[in-house]
Amino acid sequence: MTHPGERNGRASDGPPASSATDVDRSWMGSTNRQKRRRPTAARRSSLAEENDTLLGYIFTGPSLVILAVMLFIPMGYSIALSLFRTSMANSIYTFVGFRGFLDALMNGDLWRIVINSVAWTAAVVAGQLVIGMAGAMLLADPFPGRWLVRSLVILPWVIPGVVAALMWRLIYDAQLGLLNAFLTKIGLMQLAREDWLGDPNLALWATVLTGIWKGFPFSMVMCLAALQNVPRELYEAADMDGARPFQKFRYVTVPSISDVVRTVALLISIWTFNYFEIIWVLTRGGPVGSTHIFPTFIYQISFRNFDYGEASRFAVISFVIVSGFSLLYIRRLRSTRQI
Amino acid sequence: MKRLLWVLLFFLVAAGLLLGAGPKITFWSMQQSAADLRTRQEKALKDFEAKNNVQVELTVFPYSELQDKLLTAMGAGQGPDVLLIDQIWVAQYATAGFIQALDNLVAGSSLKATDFFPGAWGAAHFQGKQYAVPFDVGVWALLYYNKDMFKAAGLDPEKPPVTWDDFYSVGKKLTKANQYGTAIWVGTGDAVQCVCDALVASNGGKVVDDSGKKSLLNQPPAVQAFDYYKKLNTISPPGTVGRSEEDSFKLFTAGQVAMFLYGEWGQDTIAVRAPNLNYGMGLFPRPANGKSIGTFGGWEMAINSKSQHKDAAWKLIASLGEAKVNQQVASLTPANVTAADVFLKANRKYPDVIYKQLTTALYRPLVPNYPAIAEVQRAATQQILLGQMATKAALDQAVQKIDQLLGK
Repeated sequence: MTHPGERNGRASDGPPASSATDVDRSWMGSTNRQKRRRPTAARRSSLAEENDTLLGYIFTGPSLVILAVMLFIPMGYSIALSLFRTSMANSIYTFVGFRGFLDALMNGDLWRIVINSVAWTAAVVAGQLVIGMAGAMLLADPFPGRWLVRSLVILPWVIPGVVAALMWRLIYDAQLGLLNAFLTKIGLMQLAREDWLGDPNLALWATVLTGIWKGFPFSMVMCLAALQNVPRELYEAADMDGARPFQKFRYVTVPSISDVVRTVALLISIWTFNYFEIIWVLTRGGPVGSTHIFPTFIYQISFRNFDYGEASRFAVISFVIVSGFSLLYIRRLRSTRQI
Repeated sequence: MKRLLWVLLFFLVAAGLLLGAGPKITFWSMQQSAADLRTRQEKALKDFEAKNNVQVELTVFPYSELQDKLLTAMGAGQGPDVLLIDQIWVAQYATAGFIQALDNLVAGSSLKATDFFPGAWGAAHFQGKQYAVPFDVGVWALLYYNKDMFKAAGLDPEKPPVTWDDFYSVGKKLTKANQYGTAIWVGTGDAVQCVCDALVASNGGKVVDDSGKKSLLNQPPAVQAFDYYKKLNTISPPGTVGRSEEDSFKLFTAGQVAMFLYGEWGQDTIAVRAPNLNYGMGLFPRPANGKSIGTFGGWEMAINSKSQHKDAAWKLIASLGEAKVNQQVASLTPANVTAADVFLKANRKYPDVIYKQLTTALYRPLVPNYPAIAEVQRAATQQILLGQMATKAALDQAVQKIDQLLGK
């Protein structure tokens, strides 16, 4: 059983393992270089190095150009645009600096969208992880027809988002919808709502349910893969020690797959934060703006209302938030690679 | 010898290209579902090409894509020579300088205002100048009613309700277990604005004043109109706010709802979905002392201000606006009145009712940032129907926001 403290303790005992390998590698590297240098003159070698650098630029050049054209220039343009007040009506851009951001902060829209985005992301990610993990545990043990169930369960994830959303629109329909019919049939009439997508207090949670349904197979498949990598011996050892099923879950399963789960959680947080189709098709951010999150609101004000300045401001704010998640993700990637 | 043949062939091809092909113009249009429309349009364009020595390249896009594609292309100073745009985009494209004023061209041609429905001709104008020529039209919101349900409730199936009060009281009679008088909606498209604007106009009000700088949505005629829409919610199945117009129309064709307010193209849907539905049609209900005024929808043809072939482009527009051609190429009801008359009699039930509604219909506000304004109006409609705010208060708030947008 690994405890975080244990790992620290070991690290402080002597020189950390990683730095030892660093020394190794540098020593090997230097001998290699010496070997290579020996037969050639110093001048020619520096020329070769120059050539190498040039070659490096030539090889990376195209991708740098593509990145610049496709990513950095539009991004820079968008950030610049966020400092302007634009109007489709007269195509005149007026420089307002950060006043535009200040206005957005004072205006109620921004905070509502931040709150909606956070609630949507947190709820969808939590739901997908819990259901994904539970599903993975069920599917980890063999039973007849497991291959079929495994392939069927992945369906929500592989069908296009728009199709899924249109289907859920029908499910939520007040008159003809499956959800209300189902709730009435199982005797929970008082739970059948008049208007799942039309009630500002319910609509966001209705979209969250769809979001969870759409994405849970991904976390399930990842958890399943992780579960299959947990050494059987650990469970056997736990059995010997007389661990109960929950204890095995808590002290064997969870620590063994926690790295995968954390990575998955970060990944789906980024995806969910930027997820567009479900909300756009189900509610278009309505009723009364109660389901707008960053992507839908940015789409609304840029491609429906053509207020590019305001849209860029929201895009920049959204970018900052997503960058936070991304940094966490990159740090995780780095740390797992070192382990 | 062989070389001589090649040279000869080259000159023949070059001459053919030079003689055969006049200027080539591009035309972007909206994709419609009617199966034979594409063939009809292509035939009309072939005739036009033969007659005018102009080549036309037609490209069609689905509605949702057309605007994105057009705005991207036009914003970059490109795009087609002739473009088909939704009426509600005319003001926006005109202010952005994407399309050019056509007054001189129209004056020098045989096209005239009386050839077209006044609402469609009017919607082609912005700030006193004409920027487009109507292509086809549709009108909100004709009254569809289920004659069998009328009979079952002891109502005269040949007498649809005429006034707001009639419509409500008949609707109330028709509302019972799992059956409703009508189905209203808010949904996510512009359809709800079409119905509410028609209610406001019928009641003598306006969404935006003539100067285009001030919203009149909180004036008494508009407040009464929205109050009436809210009242209709009591004879409508639950789920109004989340429902779209298609969802609601489904309830009518399924026989759950006795009366429905919709455009004339709904007849196509009924023919496919409920061919045996015994339905009648009437004018959009009006206030007791008001006039039945519908809301126009439809498409307009315009010329790209950056076009290199404006003469050819105008020739195409003028040709497509002529009664005979317009009748062939229009996907909705033709905007040319002569063509519309023929089209409605051939393709629609109750053509007279539709024609009458078309002649009095008005357009939605002709302002550049209409989409943003429509969004504010929708939010207010939702607040009113949900009971979150009193009608007047919600509209006051909306007017404040709309005025801000109009002043931009």
